[in-house]
Amino acid sequence: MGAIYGVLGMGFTIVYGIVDLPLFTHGVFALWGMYLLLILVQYSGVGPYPGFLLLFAVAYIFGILLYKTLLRYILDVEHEMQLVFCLGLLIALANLALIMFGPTSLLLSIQWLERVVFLGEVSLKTAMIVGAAVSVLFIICMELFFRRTETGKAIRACADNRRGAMIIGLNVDRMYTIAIGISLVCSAVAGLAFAPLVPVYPDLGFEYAVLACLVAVLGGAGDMKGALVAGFIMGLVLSVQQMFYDLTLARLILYAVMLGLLMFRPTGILGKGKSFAK
Amino acid sequence: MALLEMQNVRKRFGGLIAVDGMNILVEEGKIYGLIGPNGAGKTTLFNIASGFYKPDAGEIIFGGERVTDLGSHERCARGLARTFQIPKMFPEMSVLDNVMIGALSRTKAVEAARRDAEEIVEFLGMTGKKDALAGSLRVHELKRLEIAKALATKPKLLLLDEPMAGMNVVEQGRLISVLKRVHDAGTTLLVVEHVMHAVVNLCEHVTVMNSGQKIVEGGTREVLANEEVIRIYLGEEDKC
Amino acid sequence: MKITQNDALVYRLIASGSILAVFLIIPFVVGNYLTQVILFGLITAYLCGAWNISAGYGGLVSFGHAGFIGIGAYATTIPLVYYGLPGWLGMLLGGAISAVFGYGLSWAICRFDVKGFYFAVSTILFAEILMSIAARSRYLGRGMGVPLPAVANAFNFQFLGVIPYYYMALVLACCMILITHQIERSRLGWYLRATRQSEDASSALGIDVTMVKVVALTLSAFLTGVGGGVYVLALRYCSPYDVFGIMFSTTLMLGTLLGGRGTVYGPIIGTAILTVVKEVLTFTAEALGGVSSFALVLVGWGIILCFVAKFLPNGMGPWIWNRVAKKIAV
Repeated sequence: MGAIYGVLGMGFTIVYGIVDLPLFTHGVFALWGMYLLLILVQYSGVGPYPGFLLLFAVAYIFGILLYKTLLRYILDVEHEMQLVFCLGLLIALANLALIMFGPTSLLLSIQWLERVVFLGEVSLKTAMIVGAAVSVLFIICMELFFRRTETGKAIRACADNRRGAMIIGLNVDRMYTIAIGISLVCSAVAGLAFAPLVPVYPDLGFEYAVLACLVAVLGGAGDMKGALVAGFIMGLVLSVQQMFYDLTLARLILYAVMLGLLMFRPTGILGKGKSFAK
Repeated sequence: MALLEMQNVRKRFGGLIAVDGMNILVEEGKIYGLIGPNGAGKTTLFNIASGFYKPDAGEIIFGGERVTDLGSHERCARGLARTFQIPKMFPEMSVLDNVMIGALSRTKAVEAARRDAEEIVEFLGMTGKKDALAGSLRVHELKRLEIAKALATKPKLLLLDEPMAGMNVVEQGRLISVLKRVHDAGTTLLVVEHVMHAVVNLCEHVTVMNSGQKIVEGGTREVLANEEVIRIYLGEEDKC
Repeated sequence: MKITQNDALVYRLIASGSILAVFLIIPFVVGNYLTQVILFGLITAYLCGAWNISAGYGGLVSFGHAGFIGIGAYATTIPLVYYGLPGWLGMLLGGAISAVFGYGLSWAICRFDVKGFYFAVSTILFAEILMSIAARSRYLGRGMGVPLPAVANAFNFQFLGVIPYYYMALVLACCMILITHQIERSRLGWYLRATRQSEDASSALGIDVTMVKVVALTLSAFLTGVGGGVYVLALRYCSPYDVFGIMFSTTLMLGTLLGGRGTVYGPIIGTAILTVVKEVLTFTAEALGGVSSFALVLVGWGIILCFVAKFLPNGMGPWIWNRVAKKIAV
């Protein structure tokens, strides 16, 4: 589970770290991913995993569109207004989902995913294993992309120094586009990994959005490795809570911890995150 | 009478010792300069004097009172004001309103503050621009606004952080005469500066800093003729 | 045709007076439903005004002001329902407790230097945590909330009809206008604006930035708490998902931003526009059948938020005013 949370957080981290835009809507993107997957599977009989790949592509394209039509224009708006914009986006998309898909929760159920596997004392659904595997695989791909490929390195350069990057001829706009496209794929991955595991209902969008932020900030906004570590920790905490108390309390504790963290150590667990740039 | 005294001030950032046992004495009524090559620690010392940094060690005494633990707004209330090298103004307010913020530190009444502010704006020759939005001003106008705002707090000592930076020689000349007028009207000045002709024209008394320590101090002419000072500045001949 | 200072003042008085007169007679002219809509609109405008103080003037943009609303709401409801504490006392109690929280929050923010994004997220968490607590506590009515008894007890501020609450709301809104106006003219108002635009410059000019922020947030919290009490009295129901909800927080934000942050009339104008949009969208949703009106309204508001953020960060109020002012002063 932790891995999936990590990916969710990564989406936000990428945008905040690279484009410097606090786009906290990734949870909602994940939600949409889940809904789309559900529809895909239910109505077209396409298997879930080919469905995944298709949706990844869709997510990427959506990300590009989103940047080109909307996000690009708020890059130079004052900070508070950026937050406001993102909030507006979050609310609009979350409720659009509510309108389109209705308030009742939907379930994705596929036979072989429901089977439970026993690893010693612990029982795991196959879906969870697959989800985790996909996430980990994705994370590894991301690592490779950002560290080894030219484009990846170029994007990181833009993150560190926007002007410098422009001076040496990098097309910052294109880099941002790619980065945002990728971050949306992150959301898709997370959403799809979760899809078989939880009932899908619209409020989930908001919940995941907050989770994504939590993970990102916990790991230090702007630092991808941190996001991963944070994801794992988060996953652990939530699982433990789930066993003993009900979910609301778990969330409450999580929120309280997060609040404390924001106050005391804004740079996140690994200390590498962006500290307050107003 | 010693207006400002900095005793054995020390400040480090991580592994770097920015200010290492500096002692400064500023007497009332004069114009002082603080010079030194880049990285000498002048700005750090400046920020410590004005309350934006807390020193790791040492004391700061202003007007006979120990102000080491006081924040910048409290020092301002006691008569120690500063300007910023890169002017920090209130961009959405007019020039007059900007100055009013300074004036409001001395009086609670908004109307009285407005009158005070208008006087200061007049004194600095900005009356024509008093309703212009601060965000629309040019660099030399902003520098004047910086000084106007600080003046409105009726300081005994005004600290100026590289006021000549970013301006051409003509503008610098004008600013120098403005500062002289400010001094004549009764304010003591301490100027951190790189631009040598300004230092020579303005300051009677100069302290030279390098690597966080005081190298020499005294009357401007003597200090600038000092061999060690010249050596320190060898890389910056073009400024002398 | 140039208008002199005196003329302008007279015009303003006449305008305000007539608008006030209109509001006074509304309950007798329009039906119950509409009166109720305007009632809650007035309460919302009041709450937007409260948010405006700390966010519009002071620059502390909180996304979770509903936290204070909820505190005020519960502080009014619980003592009333269980112990018979009069409504007006509950309101003040709610305000006081909110103020304490506001004080604590602002102190923490200044101490730990929490800014911008992190502040916004902190406030969201603040509201969410309170909501979770209220939703779990049996004493506080769990998720269902607590209904307020429908009795007529004027001393307790409980009325059967809508009209008395309407006038309460009107009084609140007028108070907010007066309070905001006073603050704007006072030194606090100037200091708030300065702090918002540049903390460093403010500090160098003798402004105790911490103090300013604390005062702003505490005052705003108090006022919001009181508003929460009134809201819940008028609604006769106190539910955690409502009073602590993100929707409420967003309403406050949107109302103020849309109408003009940092202005006296901005929140009112914004709320008026929002209310109209809300009613129109609700009507549309019902006409379309099966579409959740709640959701459609939120989608609409989300879009408006985005629009305002980019194109009208200072709100419609100043925009309209600029147009009008240009036409008048020639």
